[in-house]
Amino acid sequence: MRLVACRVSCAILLGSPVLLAQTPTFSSRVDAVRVDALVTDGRQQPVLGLKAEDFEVLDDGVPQRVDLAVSERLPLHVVLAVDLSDSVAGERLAQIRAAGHAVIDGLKREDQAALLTFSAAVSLRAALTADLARVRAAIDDASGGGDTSLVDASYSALVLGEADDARALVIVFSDGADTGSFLTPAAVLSTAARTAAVVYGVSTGDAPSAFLADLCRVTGGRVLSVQSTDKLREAFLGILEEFRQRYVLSYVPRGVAKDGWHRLDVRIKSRRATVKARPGYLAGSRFGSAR
Amino acid sequence: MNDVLDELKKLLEPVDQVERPDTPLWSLPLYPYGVADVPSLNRMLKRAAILHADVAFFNHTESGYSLPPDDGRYTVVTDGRTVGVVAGTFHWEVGRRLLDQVRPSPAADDDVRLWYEVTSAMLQRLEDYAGLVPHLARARELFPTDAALALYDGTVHENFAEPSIQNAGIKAPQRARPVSPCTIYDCRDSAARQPTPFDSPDRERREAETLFRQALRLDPALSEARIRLARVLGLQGRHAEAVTELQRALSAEPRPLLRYYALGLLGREQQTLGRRDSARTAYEQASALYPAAQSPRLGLSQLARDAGDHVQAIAQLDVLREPAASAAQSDPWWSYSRTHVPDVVELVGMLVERWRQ
Repeated sequence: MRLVACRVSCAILLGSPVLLAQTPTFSSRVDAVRVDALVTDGRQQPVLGLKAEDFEVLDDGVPQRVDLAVSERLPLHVVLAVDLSDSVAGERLAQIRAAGHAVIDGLKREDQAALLTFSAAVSLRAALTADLARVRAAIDDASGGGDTSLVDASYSALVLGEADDARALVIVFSDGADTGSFLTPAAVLSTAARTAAVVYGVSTGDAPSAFLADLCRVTGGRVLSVQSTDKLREAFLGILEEFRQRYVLSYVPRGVAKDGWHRLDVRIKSRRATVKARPGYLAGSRFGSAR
Repeated sequence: MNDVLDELKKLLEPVDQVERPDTPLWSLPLYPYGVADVPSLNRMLKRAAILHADVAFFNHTESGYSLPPDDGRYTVVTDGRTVGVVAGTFHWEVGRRLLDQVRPSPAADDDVRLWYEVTSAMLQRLEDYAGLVPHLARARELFPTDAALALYDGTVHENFAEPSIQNAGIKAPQRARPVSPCTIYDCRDSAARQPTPFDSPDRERREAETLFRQALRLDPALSEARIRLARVLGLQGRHAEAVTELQRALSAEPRPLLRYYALGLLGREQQTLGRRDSARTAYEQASALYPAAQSPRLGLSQLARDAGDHVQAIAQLDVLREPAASAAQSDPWWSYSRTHVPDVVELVGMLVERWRQ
């Protein structure tokens, strides 16, 4: 416990995240909580340059001490989960591929990416890797057809992207509702409440699936609806840019129950700002920690 | 189709009302076997019904029905998206009308019963609900105590509750659009003119439950009915009841496919009830039956992740690395909605063998 406290303190003593010589590591304590938060101003523009002391975190209404708040210095684990069911073919498929390439092209050297596609089957086309050429090749080879196992694919993407030393961004594209998964939406939402991954959904059609909307909400992400797949590239890039502007907060809960569901409130002290973060977490599992 | 049926009616109209008013086929001057040869007539009718079933089955294509335009409008529902409403092929109706002429009564004839069982399973395999619904209606009229037909009827309602049907847009026909590739004609117009053929998910599942229970009263050993009953119970939030039915099905069912479905569903129900060890056991047993299947491995992964074992959760997802082309054939869960046991191939074999004798 003492060693862990030192690791966290050292990260703070070094000053702002920009001055960190190494990638910051979060507490590996089972009970440490990570919260990924987007802060925007009145014009819905991201607020940058905030520090740990600028944040107020309430865990079940109890104020907590934020030990760490970092953003850009953490590498990303980006998992693309792409719907390749029957309704996606021809020109739509080409546009989906282009959007996938755009995200990969927007990654930095320290980032990693993975590609999942789903129809009835969920296929791990490229496991999480820093070899982005492999992911690009997988995007070009991908094809599908059949039902839509959105729930199964979303679960898989959540788990595959998790890590202690990186931020997990899951981008799920689907043009319809789930028609073939084995896992239940309720069970996957429960798992999502235990992970630190943030899910952004992109949906075409009249309305996103209720499951996808709930998944994004539970993880602190959001759903974007686009009218057609020719807007996907822009949507994917927008998500990547927004995600890089988020903060990752870490704290060890004090004065609250050790298990069960905890409501989270994240605010900015002494200024008006909107914070988008997960609404809570399930304690009693390794929230935010992969090991 | 109406033209064909009108012609068929002429064929069946009585020529000699005085002699045999209720048996028009006997009156055909071209009938070669003589009016007393009932077995031969019955045999001809049954073989003709098989022929029409063959034509109907092979007329179906993956993307829809390859019918000429004057056979009417129709719909294909693909991955939850609608393209109109199915009118189907007339061959199923021709087959039914032929068998209605079997003497002394089609309802007393085991061959007719088997024909309906086989063709209903064929229609379910094709997911041709417009064909299957009237087909089963007639079948159940003739054979109300046939457990397999009650099971098939329940399966239709179980499937009607699913998002793949419910989301088809039939309730909002203005959203209907053709799916490419599409060999369907006038589908956008057809969708706007057809009524919704199914009810809400809750009502469909209640109807399915009623029919599965009926099937089990008729044949308590019909495991598939018990497994499907358990699934709809679980979907209605009655998880403890679902577990009981699944355990009962497993206690007496040796066939791998049905055991796989039962074990997978049992794992899900136990997981929902918070019984993680029991869920893990069920998933492991399901996975042992079909090692390449994704579904039980996803269940095991989730159990591990929720228990904090990320390493094991990732390891179970190794099954996702299989190329999609081979994975598609390796998880029976993906064909649950259109599969019965015995399957269509086996049933057709039984039918052909029986009628060759």
